[in-house]
Amino acid sequence: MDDQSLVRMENIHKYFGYVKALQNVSLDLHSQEILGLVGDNAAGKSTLLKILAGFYIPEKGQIFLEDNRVEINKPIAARNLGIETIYQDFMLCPKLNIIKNIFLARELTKWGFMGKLRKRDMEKEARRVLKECGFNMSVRLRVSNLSGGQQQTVAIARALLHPPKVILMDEPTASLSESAIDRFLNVVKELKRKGCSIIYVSHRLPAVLEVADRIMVLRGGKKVAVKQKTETNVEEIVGLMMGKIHA
Amino acid sequence: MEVLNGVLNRIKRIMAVKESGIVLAMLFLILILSLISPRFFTVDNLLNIGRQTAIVGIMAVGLGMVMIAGNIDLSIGSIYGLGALITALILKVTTNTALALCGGLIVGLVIGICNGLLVVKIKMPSFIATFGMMYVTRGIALIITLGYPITLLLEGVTLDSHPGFYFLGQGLLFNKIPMQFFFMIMIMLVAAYILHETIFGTHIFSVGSSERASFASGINVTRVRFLTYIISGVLSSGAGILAIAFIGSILPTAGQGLEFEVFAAVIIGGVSMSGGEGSIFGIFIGSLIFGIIRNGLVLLGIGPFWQVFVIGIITIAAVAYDSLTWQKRQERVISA
Repeated sequence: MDDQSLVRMENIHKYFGYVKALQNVSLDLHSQEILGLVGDNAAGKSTLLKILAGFYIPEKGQIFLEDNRVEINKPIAARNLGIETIYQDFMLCPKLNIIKNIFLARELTKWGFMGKLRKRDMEKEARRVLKECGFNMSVRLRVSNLSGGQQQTVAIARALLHPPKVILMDEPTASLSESAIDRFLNVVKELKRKGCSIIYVSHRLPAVLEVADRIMVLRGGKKVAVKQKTETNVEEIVGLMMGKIHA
Repeated sequence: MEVLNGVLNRIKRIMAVKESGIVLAMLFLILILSLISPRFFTVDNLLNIGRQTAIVGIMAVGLGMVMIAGNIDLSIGSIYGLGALITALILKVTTNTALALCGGLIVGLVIGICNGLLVVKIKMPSFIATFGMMYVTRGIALIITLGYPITLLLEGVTLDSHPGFYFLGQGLLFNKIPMQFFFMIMIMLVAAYILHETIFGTHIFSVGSSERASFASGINVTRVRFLTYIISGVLSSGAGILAIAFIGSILPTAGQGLEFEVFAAVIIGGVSMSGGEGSIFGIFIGSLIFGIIRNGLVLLGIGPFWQVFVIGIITIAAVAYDSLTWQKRQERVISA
């Protein structure tokens, strides 16, 4: 156990039929830290992230947030705990406009579930949060009319609507151009500066090494190492991922 | 010049609204039929179209919600029939109007719950689940009646003994507006509020647009889809009640094929086959177009066989239009 832990996942096991996706994996995320989570295909990094996001329920294991044991059995439970996720495919509703996507499941109304939507307030808030992300287009555009980079900005804005404690990023640069990746990495650093803790999953090791404070390596559903950024390099991480180096 | 530009921009904005196409189509139909038949554009005939549209319009609201949420409900015609039948049976046995209305609506509620459970809990494809329920519901109607019609007037439920009941189907508000049309408008106003102004409505659209994204956002996808089936079931049986209150007699096969007419009205109204798109205004116009075509064909003396043919052609055209515009939208997304 780590005294600085904001999030702690202990002895997580996850099976998909006969496939052991995660075996006894533990993870610590410190306050205002970026933890890089790396591994080869099928290493279990996305599965681990989706368990914390409430997308999957583990067969065994416990999750703690600020030393309190928490049950995250669906995505809304994670969001209510201040854990937001930016997915690889953004998880946006293409036929809805930007405002509705940003406020999805957190709409503002006058009197609850069947109350009238406060559309003007939502539009104003959506504009504000998108402006913070450097987006200057109309918030009434449908998401299906946006480019990949713009959709990602909407996904980030959705995560930042109510300042979260933790942001989970699953391959966030997978569909971005090189210049867009640079901009995105600056956003990640800025989020950390504002007090967010981030788990950053990516195949792009240089990007991970650029933003992460620590790097956790998974292989075949098992945790093989956790390294301080200052004490490692790309070659060592690749070696750990491939099983050529043992921690 | 500025005024002209302003007007042109306003027209462009109106034309950009998805429903503008079907509104124009409806106006065009009205114009053509008014020129061909002098009896078409009269107050009485227009109100008659409103009444004729009501059954399809009310059911189209429920089916529209199910389809916007990304599913289908093929059982609505059978629910309509069984709802009317149960209402008639309870009236026949108890002569209690309130009990009969509740019984009829409960039929829709129960079948809606069954549809919802099959689709969201057992995870059956909605087409198969509601196709099966269509036959189950029809079978119940045939078993109960042994295939015979129920004629309320012959059972002592007359206009004199039950004026309130018959007013629901035959009554005229302010001696002019058919009650069925009034019910349709009221239901559509409430549905428009729910669909376009509330969280629940937003979630219906989001679930139809992307089930995964909705789930990841924290929306209870199961609850949203389940509720749309309940709404569809209750509205269908409600439409059946209005029908029996209008005709006073019901066949156990009533509503057979009606689901496809409702489906056509919903599609003409711009509800996307792939879910996530549509509006109550569009459904209203789609239902009206349907009623106008039927009425126009009758006024022009075109036989019922040709009516079926024309409705089929219009449905194909509407689905083809939806399919083609969907492909274009996909191409735009891919090239973005």
